[in-house]
Amino acid sequence: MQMEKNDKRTDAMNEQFDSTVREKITGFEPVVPHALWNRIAAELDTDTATTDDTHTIPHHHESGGGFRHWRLAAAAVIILTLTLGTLLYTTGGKNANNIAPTVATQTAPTTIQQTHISVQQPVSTHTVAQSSLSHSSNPAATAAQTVSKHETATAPALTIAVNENPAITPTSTQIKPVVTQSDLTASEKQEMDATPITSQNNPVEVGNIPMYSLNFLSTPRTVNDEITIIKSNVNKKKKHRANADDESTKVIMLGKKYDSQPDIKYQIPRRF
Amino acid sequence: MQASIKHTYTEEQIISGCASGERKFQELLYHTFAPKMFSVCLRYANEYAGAEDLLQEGFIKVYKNIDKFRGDGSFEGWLRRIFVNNSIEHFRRKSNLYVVQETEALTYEHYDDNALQKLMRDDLMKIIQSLSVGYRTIFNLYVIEGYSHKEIAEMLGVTEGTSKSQLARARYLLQKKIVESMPNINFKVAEDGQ
Repeated sequence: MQMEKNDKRTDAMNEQFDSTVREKITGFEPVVPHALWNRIAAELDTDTATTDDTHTIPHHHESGGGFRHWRLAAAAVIILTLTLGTLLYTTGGKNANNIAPTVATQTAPTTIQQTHISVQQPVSTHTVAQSSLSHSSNPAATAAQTVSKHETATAPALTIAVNENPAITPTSTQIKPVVTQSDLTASEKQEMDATPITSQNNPVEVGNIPMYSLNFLSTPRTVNDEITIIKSNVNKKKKHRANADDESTKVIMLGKKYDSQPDIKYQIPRRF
Repeated sequence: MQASIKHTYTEEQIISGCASGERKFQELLYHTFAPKMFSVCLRYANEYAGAEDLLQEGFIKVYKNIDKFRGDGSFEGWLRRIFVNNSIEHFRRKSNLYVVQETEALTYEHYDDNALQKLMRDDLMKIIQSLSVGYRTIFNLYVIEGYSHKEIAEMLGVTEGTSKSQLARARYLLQKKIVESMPNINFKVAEDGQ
């Protein structure tokens, strides 16, 4: 009860206080500094000038707007083209390899008895498999074996088997056989056997055919060096951009007697 | 000179002239309402220079938005709301106004209404200005402008309880400052009480 009385008394005092303050302040009109209007007018002038500027700006924007749009569109097209090109360039090999197995089933590979190595070449629209064994007397062996773009598009898979006495029996006329040991003369075979295996990635020897990596082949070769078949390179994408998967298997025919960069006739198709 | 201009144009004409951007009417509007609005600004500001800034900002806003005045209420009330809102916004930008602690309602026990009655208006304004921003704003909104605690809470983004407690605290501090500013009266009150 006493608390309620106190509260009411407090409220009444507060209302009295508020009312007195309100009365005192309500009619209060202090003197306004005269210079203040000049400041306001100056700010209004500034705003007006800014507004005028903004009225003139759209004309510039309109005149330049179309050109800017064209430039943006052109830039977008260029960027898109570059991006797509880069993507195709970097992924083209992979795509080609993905195709290879499906095509391989449709084509009859060159089969050799006592098969030891089975090499599948991915689709190669730019592939040129070439042998330039210039010292060979066999015209078939020395002739450049070129798999044309159209041929490889339909028959990209090659299977090559090699043994000590290979008897190549091509079963597909679509595929131009690569040069194998059977194309070589006896002296060439001997020379090949003596060729050191220097491949860093695949120091493997199947039969008496030395195999080299692309790394090895990419290095300048000495005169009289001779390489016949290269298989199963673990390709380095950075060095051989056209290559596909690291584990993809390649067939590469090479000439001999390089005194500079060897002419590696190997390309993974780039799908443009 | 100004008095003659005031009699020449009606409020509608002044508003219409300001809306069309005529400087003459803008100046007329300024001279008509600046003293009252300066009073509002002085209450919300903590110093004279700050009140000048508030007045300038407020009038610029008025001139830019005068075309939005639809004539539903009084023009002076519309102006006042602009200045009050501008003051609140101004101090909200400058400082973290309303981080306040809940306080219980207080009444300064030695306060007597005579002290306030005898206090000069300018001195009262200075005492109000001496309050912290949060107290000052809530006190002005509730006591002078007549907003409810609910409205204040919405305007300032605080709870109603905060508004109430801050008002009580502001009142307590004002009463204390008023009494302290007039020690003789306080002394007399004490003597009368005895």
